[in-house]
Amino acid sequence: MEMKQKDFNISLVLVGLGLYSTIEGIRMYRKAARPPYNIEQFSISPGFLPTILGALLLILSITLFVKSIKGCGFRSQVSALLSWSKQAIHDTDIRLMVIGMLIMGIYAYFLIGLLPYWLSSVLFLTALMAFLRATKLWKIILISTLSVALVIVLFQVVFNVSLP
Amino acid sequence: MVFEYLMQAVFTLLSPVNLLVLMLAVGSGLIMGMLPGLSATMAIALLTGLTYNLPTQTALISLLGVYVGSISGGCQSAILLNIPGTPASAATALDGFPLAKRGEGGHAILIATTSSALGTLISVIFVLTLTPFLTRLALKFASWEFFLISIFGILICGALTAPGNALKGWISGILGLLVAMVGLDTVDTFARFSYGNVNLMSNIQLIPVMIGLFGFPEIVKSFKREGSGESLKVTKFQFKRGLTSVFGNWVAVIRSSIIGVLVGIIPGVGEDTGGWLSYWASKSRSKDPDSFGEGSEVGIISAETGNNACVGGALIPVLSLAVPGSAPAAVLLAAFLMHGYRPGPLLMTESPSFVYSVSVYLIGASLMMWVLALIISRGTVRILGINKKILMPVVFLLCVVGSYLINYTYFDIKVMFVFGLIGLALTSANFPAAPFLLGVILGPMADSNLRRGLRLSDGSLMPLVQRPICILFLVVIVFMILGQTGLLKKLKRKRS
Repeated sequence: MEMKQKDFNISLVLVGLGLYSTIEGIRMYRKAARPPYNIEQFSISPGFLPTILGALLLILSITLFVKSIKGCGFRSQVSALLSWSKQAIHDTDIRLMVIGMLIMGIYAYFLIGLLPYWLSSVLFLTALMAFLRATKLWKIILISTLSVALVIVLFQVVFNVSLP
Repeated sequence: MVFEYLMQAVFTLLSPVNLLVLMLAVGSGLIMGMLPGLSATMAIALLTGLTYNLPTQTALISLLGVYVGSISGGCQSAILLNIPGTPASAATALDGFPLAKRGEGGHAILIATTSSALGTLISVIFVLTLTPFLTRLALKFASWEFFLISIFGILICGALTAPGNALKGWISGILGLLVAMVGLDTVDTFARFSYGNVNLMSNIQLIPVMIGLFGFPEIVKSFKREGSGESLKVTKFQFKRGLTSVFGNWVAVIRSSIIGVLVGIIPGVGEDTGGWLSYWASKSRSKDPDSFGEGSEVGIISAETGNNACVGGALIPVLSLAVPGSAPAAVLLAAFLMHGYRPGPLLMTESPSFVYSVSVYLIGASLMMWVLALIISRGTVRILGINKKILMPVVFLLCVVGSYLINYTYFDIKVMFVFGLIGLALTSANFPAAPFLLGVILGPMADSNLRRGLRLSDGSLMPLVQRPICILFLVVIVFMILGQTGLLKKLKRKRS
């Protein structure tokens, strides 16, 4: 993807974020003006800096957005984004990265709390390495088990800290 | 008193446990540094979480060891693979690889390693002399000055880490500042961006954020199918010849050290800039500039001395102003805070021995690095052959452990993952991550000082243009913004 296209995509997200931060900052100011805070002056309100930062983000993001459509137009950038999305589905590198992240996400969000640490970690390492076709399966299982054992020995035994 | 502090630090360093820790830290730093994709920042970020339960001095030794090791380790892959292990060694590859291709890989590594050690050692002199001076100066700072210096740090970091498009650097810095706003504010304990979540109310922890920002993208990028370059073999080196080459070019060593320290002091500018600027300075002053890029020894010496001198340089503003000089130094600042130190103007009053301890540990780390790097260089080719698809999942395991150990909560692991995704999105769109991290670190300082100042002035912003140091900062900030946005050039054109 071209840098201008990337700038276009990310500037859309950033404009939204800037807008949200500004509105949220103003809401903070209004909330702080009521009891128990009773801070009625905007410049000393807890919402002051978030509002300023949100507004600055909005201005800079709009600048980036304008720069990204200069010379090619809004419509062509949108159609370029759509055609890139179609290509991305068939791109092997992107697929590897997305599914890899998915496995990492499942481990970080669900497996760790659900299963004992050693089991969830061995499962995670085996699954990710097998998906990436890092080496032969028996080697993957061996490496995963040894790595987790090493982490447990190092932290739980040597440093005496409890792992997840 | 200074001598006492220095001796105390020397004895602490020489204890068997600490020496072993230093050896392990420098060794792992060297290996992480030489593996392309594992940056110095990531190495320190990862280790910070892992040192949480270590005694403070041992933790400091390990953190500084891994910093020096990782910055220096990058040169080995730059020389043998033509792929810099860290961005800091990018300039080294220009002359290191051609020298290795001529069958002098061992000699190139020896002079690069010796220059790296010298760069760090010389920078320690500046740490010892400049830090107390800057700390005394910073004692004159009040709330308004601290607010402006944090904004100045983020702006300059944004401008210098996103060359040609400061806008992206500044957006990254603002995003970091917004993240720092999450949680109860320090003045009125008002919950901001918390949505009733208790974990968010207690602020977003710095360590999971930086592990996510710097570690996660590198892990995910390694999943791509990419062929690695062919590496050259390390040939034998002669100590006498190598040392003669380095010390024979003492002018380049001194010049590059000074450049490195000065670049390091500038907030947010990394070791890579130090290496490039030193290389450029030596090339432009050379009688034979054409030899640069063809395996010039001076080129390697300048680049490596320059990037390693940044290590000390970057620590000077951390210690005296609590404003980091580079991305790895920003992570180190977080680590110092985590271990109970409060870098800044009061550091010399509250922990007077700290600066001297850091200096002695830096010296120890650079000497250890010199010895270990030359030993490890024998096995560099094997290390560089490690399959990334095996290594990176294990690195993610350490990222999870490092994030968890800060508060022993699963929430921090999730935070690390979320900021990993943000880091990936930012880096893929060429947004630098360093200003983001700097924003997260300096956000609380900017917010609390601005609001304290505003309370004292009854909500008026006038003190910003009434205090001399504030005016100086404002002028520099305005000029920087005008310069980066091209408005300064336009104004000049209009006048002419």
